[in-house]
Amino acid sequence: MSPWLYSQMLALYPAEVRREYGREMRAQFLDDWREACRRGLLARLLFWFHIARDWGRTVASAHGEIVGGDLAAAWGNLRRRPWPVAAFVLLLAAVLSINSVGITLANRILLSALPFESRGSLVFLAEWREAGSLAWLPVSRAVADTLRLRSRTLTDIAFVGGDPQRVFVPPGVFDTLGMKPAAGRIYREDESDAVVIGPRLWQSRYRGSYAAIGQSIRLGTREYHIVGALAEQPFDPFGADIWAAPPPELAYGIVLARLRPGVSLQQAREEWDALRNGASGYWPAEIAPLRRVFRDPVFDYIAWGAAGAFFVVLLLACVSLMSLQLGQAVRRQRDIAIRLAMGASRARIVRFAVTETMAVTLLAGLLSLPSTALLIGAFHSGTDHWAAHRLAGWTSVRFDAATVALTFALCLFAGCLAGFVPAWKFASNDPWTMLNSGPLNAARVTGMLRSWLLSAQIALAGLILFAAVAFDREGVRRFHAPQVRYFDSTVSLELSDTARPVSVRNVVQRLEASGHRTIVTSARPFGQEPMAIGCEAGGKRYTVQMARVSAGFFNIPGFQWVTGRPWTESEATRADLPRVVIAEAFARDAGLKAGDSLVTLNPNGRRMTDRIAGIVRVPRLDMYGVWPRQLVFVPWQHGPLGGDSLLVEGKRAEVEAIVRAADPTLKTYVQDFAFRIRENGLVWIGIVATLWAAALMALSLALVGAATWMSQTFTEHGLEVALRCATGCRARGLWTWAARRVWRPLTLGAGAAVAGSALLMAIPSRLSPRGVLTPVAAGCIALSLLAIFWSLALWVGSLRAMSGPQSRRLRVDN
Amino acid sequence: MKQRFDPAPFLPLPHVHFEILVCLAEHEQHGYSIKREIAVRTGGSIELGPGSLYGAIRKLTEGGLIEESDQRPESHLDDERRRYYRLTPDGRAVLKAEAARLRTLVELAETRFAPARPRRA
Repeated sequence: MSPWLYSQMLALYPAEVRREYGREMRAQFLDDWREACRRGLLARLLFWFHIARDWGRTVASAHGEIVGGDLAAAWGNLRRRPWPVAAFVLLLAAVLSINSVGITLANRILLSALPFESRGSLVFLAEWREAGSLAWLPVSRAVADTLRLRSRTLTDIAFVGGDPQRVFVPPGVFDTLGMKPAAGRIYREDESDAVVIGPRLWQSRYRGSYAAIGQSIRLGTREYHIVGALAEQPFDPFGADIWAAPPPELAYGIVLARLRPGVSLQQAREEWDALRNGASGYWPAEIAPLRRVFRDPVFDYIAWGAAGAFFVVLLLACVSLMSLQLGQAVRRQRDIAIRLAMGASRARIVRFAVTETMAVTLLAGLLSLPSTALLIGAFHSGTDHWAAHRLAGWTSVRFDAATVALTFALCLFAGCLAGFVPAWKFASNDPWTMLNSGPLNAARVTGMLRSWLLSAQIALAGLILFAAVAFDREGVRRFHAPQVRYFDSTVSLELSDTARPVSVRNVVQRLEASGHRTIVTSARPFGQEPMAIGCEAGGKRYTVQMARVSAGFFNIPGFQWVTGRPWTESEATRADLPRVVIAEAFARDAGLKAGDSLVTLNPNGRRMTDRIAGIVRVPRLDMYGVWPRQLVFVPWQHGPLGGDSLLVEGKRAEVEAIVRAADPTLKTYVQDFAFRIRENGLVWIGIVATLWAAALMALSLALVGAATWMSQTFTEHGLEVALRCATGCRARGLWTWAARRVWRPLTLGAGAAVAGSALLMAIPSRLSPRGVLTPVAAGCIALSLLAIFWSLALWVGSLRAMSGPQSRRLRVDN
Repeated sequence: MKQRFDPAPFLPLPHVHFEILVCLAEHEQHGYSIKREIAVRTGGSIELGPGSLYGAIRKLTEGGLIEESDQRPESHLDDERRRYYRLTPDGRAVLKAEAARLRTLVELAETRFAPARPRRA
């Protein structure tokens, strides 16, 4: 056993040491081992201790010497062409930096386990909103009690109520969420007048002082005393200023729970569906992971999209480095051939090349660290502190040891990939062939690899360019869409819940009389979230979003009637007429048509049957297209507005003046949509700017690739180029000659870029360019840019070749 | 004309290298016997493992201070697994230079530690 083990340990010595001294080392080990065996157990143990120490020290030193030698040789090579290497290292540093930031963001927010998930995933009863985002769904206390009694998949079930300022939370929830007070303590279940204050209130009113503990605080008519204060939390889903124990009379609230060990999310969902369908009422909720609360799916798309785009640029950098290494290898082919002929193994040649590329990538990695720290710092300072803290995982996004380790892992990946492929290709050749072939025959030893690298560069750069152009054009198109322009000329007027129907009618009449068209709606983006509700159609149950709108709502540009028509104002109150309009997507899912019945289900068990008046194709009214698929429009009937909004065409100041004149006592909130469009536009500009930054890097790396290819080609064919110049060939002729040599890999790369772009467009997202025109135009622009870029590079290369020393000499001799 | 060898770049010699050169100064030896001789000479304070011993031999061979010998002992004394090493003229020069360096150091130390001579009246 021991000799076998030592033989395995020998495998970690460098190959040349193994080859030269392995047999003798094994023999010495055997002799010493026999002697130790004669002396007894303790001697054997001491022997192994001695051998392990000797082995560890000498293996490290043998490899260290080789790496040191290779690094010194690599440094010498790099110093021969300082400027190109420096430019490439700086470019690679920028690429590594954005990759570290992109992966850190995606990993910490989307993937890494959060502190409160150590004992199992937390889930909540969620309502699907805005085509995929999740929000708390308030349910009655009875639902929480039923879950506590009957659930076999959930544990730590908590019923939480309140509003954004004051939240009623059982004391156990603090432990569930992994929250601990920074000062004082958590209240007990029976302490009805004790509260814990949140970090915002603690900082703003008490300046983070411990003296806050024990002080009184008045909320409405009631006075509480503060028993604890929370510091900034890694994740604060409620973001409340005051935390108190739930009063017994709390009837509605939200449900928070933990999955039992070994239970999957799907099992919990199935159990909830069974409980919900067995009940008389219908709660339009779903069990969802807590870490997804408040996170719009657009964020996931942007995070993955940016990380993906940056990674493509990193691959492009690797390909460019491979190209550079291949050029180096062509120049050093005699050196490599001699090494191989003298007995150097293929692994030794590869190791030397990988060490050289690793030196470049590690240097770039070191240089990238300050910019990575600055970028992450800019993310923190540029985002709304309190809003960001509600995004699970946001506080863990920081520059730390893990970020540094990630950067060096990327360096390792890039260095190994870029060094391995060219060296492996070269080391596979017969050394005698390489010794006999000069630069003219370099194509024989590089084979198709150079063409493949060129194609890969064009494909990757084309893909990134396409994404940048496509999203840029799509942003402009969305910004100027007719429905968004309508949105730009409109304000939303929210009246307080206490507004009497007569006041609402008065305001509407005044606005209409002064030429401001007025629509009532609860539909996004003009109103609050449409109400989620259950409905039955074709024997199946659906959770739909029900928007209350007045008849004029469908006059907004972009609605297209598939069948039927909307109701008129006079028909809205008649119970015998069909008056429900459904979105085309929902009609397709449920197999519904105009005239069919639609049964709606309330949480309290009430069922209402309506008939479908029409099916409409719904436009996306803001830049991000936040319409849910399962959407039902019902008529708003005259009465108090509740959660609905008045949508008024006109300027904010005029509307405010008219409303004030109509009823000075009315409490109103007027929202200007132009501001929101600008805000949305800024986020879009951020996405496009990120993509253009990636595209700029991709173009720069493509320039490195073009320069490397031309330098290699003109060196290999120096004599041919010189002869052509001597016989009267001008730059145009040389350009044609070079273009003929390169058109195949370029065409192949362009084809791969087109295929990659088509795949990119197939990823479902509401941000992707819609239709065919924008992607096709973007593809044409991207390919044209690359073609122009390469043509210019070829032209410059041809001019340089014409003025080369060999060409000049031949011309003079002639 | 061959340039005269200068041992200065090899000095000071690592202790293990010095011990190996001393072993080979007298006669040719294989690796295992070098290890045994060093262990005996130093009273077991230097026990070279295979990695250390052959690492040192590799460096000395690459430096041209020792070389593999093609002479083998009598067949009944020979071990086929072993290779024999001998000192090269350069190795001998380095050994001498190192010994001289050590001697100088020892003399210097002895001078410093020697008891002060009593003054004559």
